[in-house]
Amino acid sequence: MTFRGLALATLAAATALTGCADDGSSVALVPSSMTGIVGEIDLALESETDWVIAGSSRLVAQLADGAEAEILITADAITMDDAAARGLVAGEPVVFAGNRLVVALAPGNPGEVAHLSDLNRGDLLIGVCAPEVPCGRLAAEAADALDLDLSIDTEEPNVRSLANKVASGELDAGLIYATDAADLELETLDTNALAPFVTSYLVVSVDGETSTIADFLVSPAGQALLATQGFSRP
Amino acid sequence: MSAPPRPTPRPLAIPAALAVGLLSLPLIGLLQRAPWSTLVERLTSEAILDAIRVSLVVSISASLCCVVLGLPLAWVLARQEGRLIAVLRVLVLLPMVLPPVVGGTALLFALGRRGLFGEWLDRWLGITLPFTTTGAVVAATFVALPFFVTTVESALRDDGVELDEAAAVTGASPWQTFVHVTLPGLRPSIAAGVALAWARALGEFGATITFAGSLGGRTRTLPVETFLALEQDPETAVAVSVLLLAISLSVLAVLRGRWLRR
Repeated sequence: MTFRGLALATLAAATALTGCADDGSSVALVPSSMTGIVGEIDLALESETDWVIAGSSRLVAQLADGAEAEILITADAITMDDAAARGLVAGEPVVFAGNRLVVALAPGNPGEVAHLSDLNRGDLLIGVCAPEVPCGRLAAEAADALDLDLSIDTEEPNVRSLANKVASGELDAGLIYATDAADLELETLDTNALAPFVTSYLVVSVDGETSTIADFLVSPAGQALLATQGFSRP
Repeated sequence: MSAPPRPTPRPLAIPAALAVGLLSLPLIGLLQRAPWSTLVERLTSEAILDAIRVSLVVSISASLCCVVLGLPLAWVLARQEGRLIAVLRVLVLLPMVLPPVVGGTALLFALGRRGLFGEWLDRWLGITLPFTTTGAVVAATFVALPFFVTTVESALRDDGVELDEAAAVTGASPWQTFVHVTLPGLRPSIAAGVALAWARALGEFGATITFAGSLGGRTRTLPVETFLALEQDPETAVAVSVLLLAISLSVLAVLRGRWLRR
C-alpha cells in the first residue's frame, strides 16, 4: 500500500469510528440481569437501542468515565443513589420493577441440593455475585440474615456470568435472580426463606430529557412485558 | 561500523510519533492519577496482599509449566519438518490472537466439570479444575505458552544444527546432544522466554476469570482484583495498576540486554 493509500485508509477508518458514535441511535446502560429482556423492548418499541450490558456498578463506573447514554438502569437503589450522589444523572430515578433472590441449581441437580443449609457443604461448587454488584450485596445480606455459612467457590463480576456457570453445570448452585433462572430455564431451590430478599430496578434519564425507553418501562405495556419475564411489580 | 544515521523520512516520522504518543499517553494518565501518598497503605491491605500472593503463585507456576512443556515443544518445532509442524506452529500462536475470554470459555468446554475431557478428570480422578488455583495456573499457562515457545524456537533456529551435527559425529545420542550441547547455548533465550511468559501470566485476566472464577486468596489475581476494585475503589485499582506496571518495567529491564541492545 502506498503512503497515500494508507493515509486514505486511516482517514476512512477514523470517519467510520466517529460515525458510529453519531448515527442518532440511543445508548442504554442496563444491568446484566436484564439481558433476556432488551431484545423484547426493541421489538415493542420498534427501535434499535445500543444496549450496554454489565453489572450495575460497572455501568455507573462507565458513566463516571464519560460514557454517553440516554438512560441508566440499576438493579438496586444503592447503586442508583451512588450515581445520583456523584452527579452523573440529571433525571429523577423511578422504580419500575422488582426481582428476588433464588438458589439456582445445575441441570439435574448433581449436587443434590435440597435445603438452604446444603449451601454450606464444602464438597459443592457454589457461586455468588461479587459484593460490588447488587446481586452479590443481596446474597450477602441473605446469608447474614439467615445465618448461612456459604461455602463460596467464586464471586462472579455479574449475575449473568454466574447464571451461565450454573446453567453449564460448572457450579452446583448459585444465588441469582429469579428472572435469570427463569430465562435460562434453571431449576431453583424450593424455599420461602429467600422471599424477603428483593431488589428494586430503577431507571433514570441521564441528561434529564424524556426517554422513550423509560416511559415504556413504566407504561402498562412495559409492565406486562416485565411480568412475562418474571420481574415483579415495583 | 555503521554509517551516521540518515534523517527519518517524514511519512515515517509522523505515524511513528503518533504511535509513541498512543503508547506513552496512557502511562502518563495512569501515573498522574496514582494515589502516591497512600500507595503503600493501599497495596498492603489484606485483599491486595492476598491477590499479590495468588498472582505470584499462579504466574510462577505457569512459567514453570511453560518451561517443562514449552521447551520440548520448541525443540520439536525447530528441528522437525512437515505439514504437521506447520499446523502445530499455528496452534502455538493461537492463544496470542484469541481473546482471552474465548480461551477461558474454550478451556471450560474442554476441561470444565461438564467439559469434554474435564468430565473424565472429575469422575475418574476426582480432579476439578475450574474455581481452583490449579485452574488459574492452567489458564495462565494457556495464554503464556506461546511467548515462551516462540522465543526459544527462534533461538534454536538461529543457532542452527551445526553444533548438534558435530556432537552426533562424536557419537553422542540425540538426548545427550540436547542436554550437553543444545541446552547450555539456549540459556539466555530460555531466560527471556520465561520473563515474557511470566509477565503475560501475571497480567492475565480474561481466561482466568472465565475458567477459574474469582475468589479472594484462591483465584483472585491482581488483574481480577483491579477489575473489581475499579467499580468500588478506583484509587486502589490505580495503585495496583502502578504495581503491575513497575513489575512489567522490571521484566523489560531484565530483558534489556537482549532487546534494547543496539
